Amino acid sequence: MQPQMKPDHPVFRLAERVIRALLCAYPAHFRARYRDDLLDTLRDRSREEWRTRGWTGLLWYCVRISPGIIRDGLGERLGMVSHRRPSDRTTDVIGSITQDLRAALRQLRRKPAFSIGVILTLALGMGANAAIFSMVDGVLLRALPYPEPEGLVRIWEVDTETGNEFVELSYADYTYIRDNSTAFTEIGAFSRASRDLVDDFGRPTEIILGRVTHGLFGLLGKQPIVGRDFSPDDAQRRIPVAILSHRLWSSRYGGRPDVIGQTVRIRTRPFTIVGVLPPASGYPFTADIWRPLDGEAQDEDRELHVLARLGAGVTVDQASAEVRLLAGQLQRIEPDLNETITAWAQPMQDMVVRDARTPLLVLLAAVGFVLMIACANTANLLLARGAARRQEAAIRTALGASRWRVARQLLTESLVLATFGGAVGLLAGYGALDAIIAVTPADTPRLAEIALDRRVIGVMAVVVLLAGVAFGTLPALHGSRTDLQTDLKGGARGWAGRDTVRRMQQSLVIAEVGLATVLAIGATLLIASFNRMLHLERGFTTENLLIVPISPGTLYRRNRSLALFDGITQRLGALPGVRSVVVSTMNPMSPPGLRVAVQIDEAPGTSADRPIVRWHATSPGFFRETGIAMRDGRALSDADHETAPPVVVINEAFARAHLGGEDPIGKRLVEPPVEIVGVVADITPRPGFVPEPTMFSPFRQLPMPGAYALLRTGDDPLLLAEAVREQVWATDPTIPLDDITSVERAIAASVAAPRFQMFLVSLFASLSLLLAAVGIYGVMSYAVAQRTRELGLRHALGAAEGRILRMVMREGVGLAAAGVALGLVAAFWLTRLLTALLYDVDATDPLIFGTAACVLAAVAAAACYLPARRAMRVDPMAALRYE
Amino acid sequence: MPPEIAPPDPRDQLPLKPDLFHILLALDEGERHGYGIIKEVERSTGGGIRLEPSPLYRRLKRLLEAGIVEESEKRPAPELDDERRRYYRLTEYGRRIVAAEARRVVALARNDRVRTLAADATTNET
Repeated sequence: MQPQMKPDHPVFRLAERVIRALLCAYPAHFRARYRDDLLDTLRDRSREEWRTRGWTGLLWYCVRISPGIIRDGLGERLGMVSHRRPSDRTTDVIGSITQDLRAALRQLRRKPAFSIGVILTLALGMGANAAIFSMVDGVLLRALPYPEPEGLVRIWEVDTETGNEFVELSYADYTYIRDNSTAFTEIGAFSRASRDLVDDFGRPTEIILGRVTHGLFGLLGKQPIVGRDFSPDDAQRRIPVAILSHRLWSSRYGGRPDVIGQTVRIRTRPFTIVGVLPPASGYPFTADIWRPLDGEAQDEDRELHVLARLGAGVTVDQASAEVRLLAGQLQRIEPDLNETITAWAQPMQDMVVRDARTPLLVLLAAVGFVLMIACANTANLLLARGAARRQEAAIRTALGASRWRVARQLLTESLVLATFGGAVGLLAGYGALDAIIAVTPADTPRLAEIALDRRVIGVMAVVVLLAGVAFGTLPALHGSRTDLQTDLKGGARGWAGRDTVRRMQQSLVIAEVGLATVLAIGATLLIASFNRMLHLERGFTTENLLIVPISPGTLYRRNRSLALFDGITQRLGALPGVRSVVVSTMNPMSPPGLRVAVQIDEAPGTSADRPIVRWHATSPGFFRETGIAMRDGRALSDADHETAPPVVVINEAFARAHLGGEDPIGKRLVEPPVEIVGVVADITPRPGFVPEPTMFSPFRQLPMPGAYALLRTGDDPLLLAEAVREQVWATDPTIPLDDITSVERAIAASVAAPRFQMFLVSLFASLSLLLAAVGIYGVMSYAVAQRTRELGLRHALGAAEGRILRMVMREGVGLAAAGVALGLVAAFWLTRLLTALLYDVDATDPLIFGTAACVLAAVAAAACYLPARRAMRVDPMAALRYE
Repeated sequence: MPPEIAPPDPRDQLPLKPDLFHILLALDEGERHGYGIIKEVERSTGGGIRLEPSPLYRRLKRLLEAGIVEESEKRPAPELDDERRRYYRLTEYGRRIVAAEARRVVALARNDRVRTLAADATTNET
């Protein structure tokens, strides 16, 4: 053993100088506190080494510890914990995860109010997403419920003259394609029409009759569950057989198997029931009864829906090309009919969901925003809470946990919160979905297929995971940092962590407000558009007008028709509450009617030169009672009876399209031979409706077998429905009267889809506003709490309360303003995606953008007010003690 | 400054790593400075754990920040004292932690299987 070495020995002094230099690897604050102590201890150790091992031992010791000093110093600078031996690393992954989970649950139990608040916030976002995603999945994503649905296509024709790409096929075109195409293994067609049904099972009723080619049901995998399918014979030999839909079979025939063989009369023709289809809804199974489509009775009308199955290896594009080719051949074969016609093939799924795609995707985006805002709020709450848990993180790090371990624990807590939020949200979404489906317009495709099932739950599980990571990462990273410069138990003065937390929270609030702004703008646009649709200048009276469709089951010849309608008009006119009754083949809400080719001038031409117009018959007073304005000439009157000269009134579209600048009054048409006596205004029952050229004959000169009775009433027209039915049936009990409606109700139905979208988007926008307000409130409250000492000082130094209030409000509103600015820019770019849903509203309307911005600013100001008031009221003495 | 949060349950922090346990044990006996801790740990582990000053002081810094260890105003007798040095001791919380670990270790030692294994190992070594 060496004798005691003196401290001033040159070797020691050299070693000490080297080590002092190495200690510079430590950060300044560490050196300030511990360097002297550390040097003393190193000296003692060095001396010990020299005593036991001599000079070589001492030198070797110095060499050995030098890299460690540098590593430790740098580690201290970077906030890393001391190097852990491999054996420290836990190999039991599952064990440590279980530990994390248990600790997370304990942590949540400790702060029940906080945990419940976060879970409810998340549940709101998750629930909305679950419900809407169920709709998106059921309508857009899920394959159609037919065998191999990706191989099913719909064949359309295109009228290149009008640009309409969705024209149905004529029977001739269908058979040509059927016989000459190679791209399809199966092909079928059907058409639908409204007819009246008479049988022994109930009152006469209006039904949808489908005429279908043999094999179409098989194409779609629907074989009758009772009885048989149609055979090729049925069509060829025109055997009058019928197959019931499951819906009609259950509702009208009580689901009885002995319905097979029964006879029903459709438009007075008897049909024998031979089969019943399995339950099916949605396109194309919207008909109530089906009968075979027979070729002989077909005319040139384009009314066939043609479906086909692609052959093996054939793509939709190839099929499209082939039908286009065949349509080209038809142009040459039948130039009169097909000159401007071409064709294409569309995947059936696209066709079914076409109109629903944009609205549903908009809804999905809206709930996505709500969820993002909920996550931002949660992240803010966790950041604020994390600041209070730094002591705990410091303890864990001191006891050897790595930063990653601490961060993982915090992240686990976030994932647990997300999981609970997701579970509660799923339950809420399940309930909400039923409510949403109840208000969804009935004509939404595939409504019956919407369900919150395993698929949706699976997707939501992924969303929960992503959300938990999204809102948990920042707080986890920040909460696990260990490079604090101050003693945790001391004051928060100069605490670098606090500023970082504030900045993160502010960024999150700005993002939230931006998202809420975009949603608010979207909702306002939809509200404005809906309003325009509802208050559209339709060109006719919309109030107190009852529409009664009269289509007698037995066909009426001319005189009997006049007698029938005279009788009905008289009876209905005598009802209390009825101001007037008119008869017309035109329902103002659905104007198109009979199409006829007219010849305007003597100039000879082919049939193609004779324009097609709509032809209606109305009783005198029709235009007056329905409020349709006369533009020129006179209206039809009682003088225009059966033996008077034949006259017509035309609409403006007719005059524009076919009479050029001519004065129409007094003009005589060649075919039909009528004189034009008046011009009425066009009507626009729906947004986007294009009025077609129409002429109106007096009903007495053109008595139709079916027409509408239109009643002006003094009060709610629907109150009279039952009385109307009684009176009409007293005249003819075979007239089906299921569809009595009022113009108001028909208008409401026509805007059902836009109303639905507007309602839901507004709901989500309101939710997002609420969440954003809560977010701003939370962040400002936290900021005020953090600055209690500063605010108390200001008070003590005489700052006016009002000034403090304004200072805090400015900060909060400033954050919101930044968010709104961001939101306006984003909305400018995003709202053009809404254009398809908007009517008569510009997607970048500055008034709407401005309104939304003001609403957000007002909400932000309200959210800041309470914290600002609290700041104002800070007691200076309490604040100074609050350290 | 928000009011102080109650520190987490000491049992949540178990098991302690061996070197940390011995540092806390060394401090539990009374105030020590850095070198004193190193020597005591070496002694009580029979040389099994040799701490180096640089990592020790990083550890001490964290323990101070965590409220497990504190600086002591009490000094030992003048003849043993070195006035430049800083002396450290456990806080109440630190005492609770090391006591919890001690209980855990004792409970483990009472386990029959553990005792059998230990006895076998000793027999094999001799």
